[in-house]
Amino acid sequence: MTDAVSQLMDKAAIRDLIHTYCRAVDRLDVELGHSIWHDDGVADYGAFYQGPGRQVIDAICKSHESLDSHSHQVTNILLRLENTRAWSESYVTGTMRRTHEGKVIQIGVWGRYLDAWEKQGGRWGLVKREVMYDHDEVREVTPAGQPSRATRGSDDPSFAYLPGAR
Amino acid sequence: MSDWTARLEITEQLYRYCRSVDRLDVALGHGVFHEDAQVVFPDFTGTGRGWIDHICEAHKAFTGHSHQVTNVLIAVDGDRAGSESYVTAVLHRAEDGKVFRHTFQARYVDRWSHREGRWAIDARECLVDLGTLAEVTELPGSARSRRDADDPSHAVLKGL
Repeated sequence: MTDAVSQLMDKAAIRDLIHTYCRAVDRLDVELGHSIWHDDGVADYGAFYQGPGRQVIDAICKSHESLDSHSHQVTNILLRLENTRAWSESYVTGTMRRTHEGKVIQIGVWGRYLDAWEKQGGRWGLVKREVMYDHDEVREVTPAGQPSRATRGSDDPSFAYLPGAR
Repeated sequence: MSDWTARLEITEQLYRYCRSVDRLDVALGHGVFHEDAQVVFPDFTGTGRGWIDHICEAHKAFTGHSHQVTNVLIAVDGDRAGSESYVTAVLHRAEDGKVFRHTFQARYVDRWSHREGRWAIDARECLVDLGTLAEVTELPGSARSRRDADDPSHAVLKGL
């Protein structure tokens, strides 16, 4: 395999992990979320959380339980690769909804994940994540009321479509 | 290595679907689905190609719309694959002199197969995670953005 192809595959593997993180925190799949971190990973989520990487997944999934629904969508991913180390910036739009005193409140967060990655024992994993919060909003919304079978647990239909990826 | 080719081709099909329903390009949309593909959308259950016909017609009730796919996860198994892709869809509708925006954060979960030299969808379900409706103030859009063959993108994407 040429160096160029091997670099493309390394970058693709890291992009997968960035997207897997979103799937983990949206489906409240703690085990899947743990899988993107290395043992010694460290997370810096500002005032929300500072500490071991894997445990930020537990904190997020627990905090999400008080919400009705949420969606974390990553766009622009820039990656720098240096052998078995890599660094990335990815933009995220987080949309979260909760019900408060009969009102539907939606929270929007526009941020960036600044990540440091390492390939240890042939596997890419996160060694450090720092989250930049660029701006946010909280507002009352009118739900569009589209019926759907989406859930946040293992009964979500996506599990049947993604056998190999959980 | 072939898995990576498959993943790239599937990702491009996901983008083609968005282009199809945003530019009302029925033929492009049909190419994303195998002929016998089945889909489940919130208000529609039927064939994939039937859905493309339906949604391209239904979109005419809106003044403009944009479907943006973000997170794409794909599991390839030989000539079959499964995928989850996140999408944000924003649609504007005019009514009684007001403009209403429909916004959906949703996921497409798809089953794919590689037949006759191409990857296409066998089954799609659209899972809506959040949807909102709001009256909005529009800013002037681009006068040259169109939903038909006159859109400038057709000139740069010949042969798509």
